[in-house]
Amino acid sequence: MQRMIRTRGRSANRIRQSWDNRLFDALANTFLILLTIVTLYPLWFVLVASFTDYKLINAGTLLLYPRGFQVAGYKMVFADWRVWTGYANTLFYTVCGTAFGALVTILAGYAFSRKDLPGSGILMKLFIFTMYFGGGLIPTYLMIKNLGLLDTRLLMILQGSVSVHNVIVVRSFMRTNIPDELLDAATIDGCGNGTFFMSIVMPLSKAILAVMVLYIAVSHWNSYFNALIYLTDRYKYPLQVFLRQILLQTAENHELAEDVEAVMEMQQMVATIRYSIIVVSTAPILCLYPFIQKYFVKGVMIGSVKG
Amino acid sequence: MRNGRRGRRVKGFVNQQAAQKIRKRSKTWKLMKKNWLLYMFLLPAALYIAIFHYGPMYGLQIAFRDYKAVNGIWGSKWVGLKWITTFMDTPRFWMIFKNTLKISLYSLISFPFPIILAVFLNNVRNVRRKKFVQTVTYMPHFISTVVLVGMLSLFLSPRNGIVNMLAGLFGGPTDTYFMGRADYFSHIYVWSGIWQSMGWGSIIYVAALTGVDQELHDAAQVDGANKLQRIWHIDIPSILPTIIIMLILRLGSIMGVGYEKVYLMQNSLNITSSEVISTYVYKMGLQDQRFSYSAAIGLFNNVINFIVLIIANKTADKVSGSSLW
Amino acid sequence: MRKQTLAAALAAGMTVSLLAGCGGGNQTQTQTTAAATTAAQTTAAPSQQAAGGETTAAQETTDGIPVDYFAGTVLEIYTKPTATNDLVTDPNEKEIYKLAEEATGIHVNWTLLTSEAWSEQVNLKLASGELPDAFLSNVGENTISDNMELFYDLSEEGLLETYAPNFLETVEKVYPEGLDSLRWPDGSIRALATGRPETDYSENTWFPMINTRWLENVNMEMPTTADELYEVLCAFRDQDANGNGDPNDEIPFGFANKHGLAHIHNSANYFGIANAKDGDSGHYKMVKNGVVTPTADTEEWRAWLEYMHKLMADGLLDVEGFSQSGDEWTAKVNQDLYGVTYMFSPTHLGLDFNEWEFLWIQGMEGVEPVLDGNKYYDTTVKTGLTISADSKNVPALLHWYNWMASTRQLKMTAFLGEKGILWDEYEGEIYLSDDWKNKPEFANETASTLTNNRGAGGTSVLLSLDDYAYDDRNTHLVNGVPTVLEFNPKDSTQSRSKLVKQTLDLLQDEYIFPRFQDPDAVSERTFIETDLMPMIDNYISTSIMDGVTDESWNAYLKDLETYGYYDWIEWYQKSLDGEL
Repeated sequence: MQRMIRTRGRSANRIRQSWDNRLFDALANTFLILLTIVTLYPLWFVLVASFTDYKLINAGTLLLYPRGFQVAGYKMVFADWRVWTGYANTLFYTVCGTAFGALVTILAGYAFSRKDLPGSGILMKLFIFTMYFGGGLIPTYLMIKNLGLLDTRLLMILQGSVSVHNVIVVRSFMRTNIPDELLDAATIDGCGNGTFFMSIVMPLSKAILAVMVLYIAVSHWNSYFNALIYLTDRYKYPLQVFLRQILLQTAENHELAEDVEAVMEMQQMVATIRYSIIVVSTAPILCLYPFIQKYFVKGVMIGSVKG
Repeated sequence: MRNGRRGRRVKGFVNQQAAQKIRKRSKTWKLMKKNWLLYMFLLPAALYIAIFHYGPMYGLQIAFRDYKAVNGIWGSKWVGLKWITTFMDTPRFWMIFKNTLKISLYSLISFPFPIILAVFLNNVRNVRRKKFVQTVTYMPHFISTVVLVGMLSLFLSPRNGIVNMLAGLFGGPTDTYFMGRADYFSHIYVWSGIWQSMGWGSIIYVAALTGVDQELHDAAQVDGANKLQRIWHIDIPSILPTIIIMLILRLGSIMGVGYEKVYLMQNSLNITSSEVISTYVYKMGLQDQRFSYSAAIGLFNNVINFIVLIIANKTADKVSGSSLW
Repeated sequence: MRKQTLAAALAAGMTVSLLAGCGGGNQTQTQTTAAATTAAQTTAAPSQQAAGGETTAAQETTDGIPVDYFAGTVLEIYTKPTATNDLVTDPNEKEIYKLAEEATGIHVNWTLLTSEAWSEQVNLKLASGELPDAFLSNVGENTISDNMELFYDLSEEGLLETYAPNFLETVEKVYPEGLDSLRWPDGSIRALATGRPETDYSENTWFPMINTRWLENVNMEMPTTADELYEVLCAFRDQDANGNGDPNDEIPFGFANKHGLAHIHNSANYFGIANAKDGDSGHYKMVKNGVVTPTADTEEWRAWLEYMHKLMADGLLDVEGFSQSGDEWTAKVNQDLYGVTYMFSPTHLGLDFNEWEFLWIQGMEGVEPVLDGNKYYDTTVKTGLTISADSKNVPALLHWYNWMASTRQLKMTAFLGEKGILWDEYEGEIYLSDDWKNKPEFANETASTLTNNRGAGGTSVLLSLDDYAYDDRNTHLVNGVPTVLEFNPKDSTQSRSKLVKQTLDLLQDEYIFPRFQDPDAVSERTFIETDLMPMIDNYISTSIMDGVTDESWNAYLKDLETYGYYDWIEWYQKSLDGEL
């Protein structure tokens, strides 16, 4: 299939581009190049700042490469074994939470996308209502306590895995991308809902599944508030909580440090540690992206099915 | 769509109605039986929503009570709309309300950017270049707000910020105090938001574009349509339902200007345009836990959001046929 | 068809394995908890080290109650880490609690909540009715006053006298009003105090400092009036005051309104307007002869704004002062860009102490400048220990708590950790010790990490000023012998202390003593403040940027009234008179 796309791309290139297409390309490319530059510099700045002497970070001078090279921020972050526990926990919560969340979301999204499901309209309204109205922290806490989920890893996996927003997005994607004719044809062939879902819907929904995995994984990866509220066992803390703690600790020691050298060292850390933390906590989740991108290749299937 | 075969005509209005009802009911029942598996599909999500959202829903009443832990939610004093009226009576209420609305409405201009990016990306033939741009533009999403605001302050500094330096290169003033001027606040807020979320927001549209039928493009190309025409007549209509749903959802959070970024960007010079409902609530709660007051203001916000959502949904339904329910 | 069945089976399998995966996770969690619990039990086992001296002393002081009278009692206590971060050792490992368990036989099950979400967590625990015997850490005045009935009333006749006599002794020493300082408006006592009062070092005034090297470089004398300061700042601006070869990078007067107390408001001190540290921020009122007087509507206030505007208009103030973050301000300080700025002490910023001097000028003729802060500054936590109303172990808890406060040695152990590290004894007197600095095992530690990890700092017992040789901060044990330390400008404690001593007379005599207030009254004040403060702050900043006109001034005076400024002043008058 990939080869097909490639050949198609080549042949498309061979077609003589008309001037309006070239103008469009020029505009689009300019936009993308400008955007890349505007985005790349601040990102580069974050990376460079994480290795730079604190005095120079906030001096306002243009940073193009690390100056006064140091790794104090990284040392501080990795000095603590708890960071590794945090990594492991976060990984566990993210993997399980994403698997659970994506499955639930895709199933529900597909069911809602069907127009022949009595009662789904009311249920959708009930779902949407919760996007705006909720009981707040106290009753939620009481509920979780009554379920016996306080201070459990299961809660960290479950909470925040399912969002109505995502369900709606999936539903709308499936309504557009899975034509009713497909279902009708399949039904005539005597194909049940389960089979249809597995053999037609899922292959056609790889892209949206990829998006859901990304959304849910990132939200799990970045979440810390629930852990702060519902966990007391420090061995279960996710990475983000530890990173916040390290930052707080450094900032506090900065205020309390005894002598000039210690003060200088701490100041250096607070200023660079913010940037190191972004690098440390973002790098793993960035690795996820290429895997996701694979599924953003143009779907050839619909055409063939429809044709 | 669900155009079943019309049955025999029954004489007499009442009879006809009753018969239709029965037919409809039996048809519904049949459908439900046939699609039982789909209900199973819904079950996990429904359970989740029931447990984590509807279970605690009774807590909504905190907004109308003077909540104290000692009395519990049901036992705290009922104060009705006291908190809302207290909020509306504060001298700065209208300023805060207007600021919130202004920033939200202004933020709406960020909506098309992810779509434009997605469409342009979709046009990039070189796979590696495409992936590179996509990865770069999505990364700002991971930058924490503190660092983002820190960078804004550095880049916009009137002393030696890069933006002022560039302005100088083009002959502009080099000492504009961006962060300290009330009239710049909303621009900085919105455009830095666009910068941060454009790439992330485009992902859903990139995914939606994968569903566009390539044969339509080929056919259009043969007919001599240029790229812009193809985008306008093929790509956009194909992802229109997604766009509309995203727009409805976006409109439904019109009052939701988050507190963190605004709070960090706020200072005593720009406060007249940067105080919004969420920062106000945050400051109220700083001194002690005012559960009832913040719940009431949150409810005030969400009622507005919800009404906007309903209107947006109705309009979208009428205009385009796509809607949330 | 076969293929389809296979697919369905696959789906089912996926679901099952997923669920199993989650179940597995749950199991791991249980195991980990079990492991953690065992670990906790092992560490909590009483250490067998000798603590004989203290134990005997305690026996004498607990008014006839044998030390181990409550042996076998198990207490549930919620606390938070001693530092604002959670990366410190848990209570089970602290010497004082080990000693307490050994002596009294009372075991404590600690639950360590987080510092970051402490107030949310406390409120959730209260809401869920899941109450421990006690919270040992600042629960907060409002939480208590909102939920008075949830906390045990310790004002009961004879209760504290019987079970906490040593604590009462300390209370009398610490608070001018004695035990009454801990009473709520209804006369009850819902919380006991922890921490330690410190009158000078911790006073959190930030001082205006001027760089004397800069002064020398521009050949000028120390300014004493507003006009002289103006001249000096102009010289800083125009010349290469920092001597780096660039005459344009100097920022004569630096401040950061978003960072600590490096606030431009402090410059109002020169115009006779200052802030007393009684729990609120801002310079909007002062106590003069027993009357709470408004300051934000006075001629001095206006004169101050006009003067600061002159500085701003002439490029003498840091333009970014209103918006910059602490990091940016610190970076500028460290790059030697500021000639004048506010600081806790130069050493705390990593600067050369000898280069900076306290800058004190008279802003206006006929007006005496005043420094922020008042001579009495309470750093104790008056809601440090709260006992739940339905706790069955109130006497045991008080006994346990009192035991830790029964000798000076124990109090020091609670505060700073075991004897022989941060503190030690010499001929019956207690001193801070410097000897740990020479021990290899503490090579990577600082005094603050040692305090946080070994002692419980302000979250344990109440100490009084004379619990260690306080008056002379500079006498430490060196090689076990009290030695008057030579002034070391690189030591931040010493530098701060020196600065404070130099300026004590400039602090205000009068202040509003912080008392527990009626919750409704507190809430009334908060509502006013949430609107009033930003309004005044905005007027200050815009006036400094754009100047004061009669028109803006009059509009501002009107705003003060609409925003409830005078109600707010009246509120504090009532508070001062003890009417709330």
